[in-house]
Amino acid sequence: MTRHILAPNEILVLEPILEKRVFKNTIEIIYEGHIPHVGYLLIQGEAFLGKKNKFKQVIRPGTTIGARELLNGHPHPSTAKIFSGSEVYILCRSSLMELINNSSTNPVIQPILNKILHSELV
Amino acid sequence: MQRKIPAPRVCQDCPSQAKGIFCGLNDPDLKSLSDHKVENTYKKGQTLFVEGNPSFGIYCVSKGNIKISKLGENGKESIIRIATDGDVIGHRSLFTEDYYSISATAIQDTNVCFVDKKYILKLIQEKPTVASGLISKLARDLGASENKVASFSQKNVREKLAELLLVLKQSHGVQEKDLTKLDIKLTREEMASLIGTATETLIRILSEFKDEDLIHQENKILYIKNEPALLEMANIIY
Repeated sequence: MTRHILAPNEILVLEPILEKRVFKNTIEIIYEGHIPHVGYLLIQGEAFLGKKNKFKQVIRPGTTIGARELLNGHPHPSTAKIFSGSEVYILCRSSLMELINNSSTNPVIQPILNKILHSELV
Repeated sequence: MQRKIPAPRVCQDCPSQAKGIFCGLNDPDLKSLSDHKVENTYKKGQTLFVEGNPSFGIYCVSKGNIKISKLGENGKESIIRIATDGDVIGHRSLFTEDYYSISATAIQDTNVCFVDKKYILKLIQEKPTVASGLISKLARDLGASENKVASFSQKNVREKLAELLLVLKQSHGVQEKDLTKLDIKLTREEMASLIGTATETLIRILSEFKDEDLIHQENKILYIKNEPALLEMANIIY
């Protein structure tokens, strides 16, 4: 499994484009088998991935969740649960399309976009 | 094995399209909306969002029922309303705050579409029919809230239950011969929460209504037998 982690300098590039949000309550942000509403780039805190109520994989800051499945319209292979206090950048479809459009003129964005969209499924 | 991906349903084919805020859009705009939205089926008990968490867009109920609730200081859940086919949820957070002030949970398997905030705000700016649809929805919500406040302060539990049954008839009523079936699976706890009373009180008054031939019950499904009497009791005009 390949799950790319974005470096702090790469996250900084996304700052003007993406909205930052804090989760005040622990919640399932993506249910197994659902197409994610938005993708998430975890900046601070912790999330878990799991199947059938068994959470197996810890997601660390710098990791993206759900962006690839959102763009491809594919069901997410696992449930993602985020813990209260975690901070994320929101990768909604509009923002992802904006990133894709910007990547043709901004060479810095292309490799970051590749990392976001080519994290393999769990 | 490759997971089979069902073809996404387009907004033009949505059974609730005519009831929603997007009903004024023409076919090309609905096609663009269809390409942008995400549709999922929520199982009973799954949450769309939780009070206090950030909002990312709006939800449109295609088919099913969603419980809209709020937690009190004592941790007790109050059900504000039930969102059903064609209803929009989370629209207030688009304009007010970045965080949800309510929670939304499926009370049965429910198809829900999601549209992200950036797209919907752009749509509101570009398409006056969507803007007026949302304003109209906000006005109806406000009217319903005012009615509920008045009802809570002025009516006794019998009157409030009569009103709830009539509201459910309007949103979920299915005519079956002389009776109207309330085609929604609500627990007695959920019904009690909707009118702000104890479950025991609700069960007692439901029983009184059955004795008075106002309603009929088969298994857990309620039927309205005497609507004029309920209307008179609820003291509402609609």
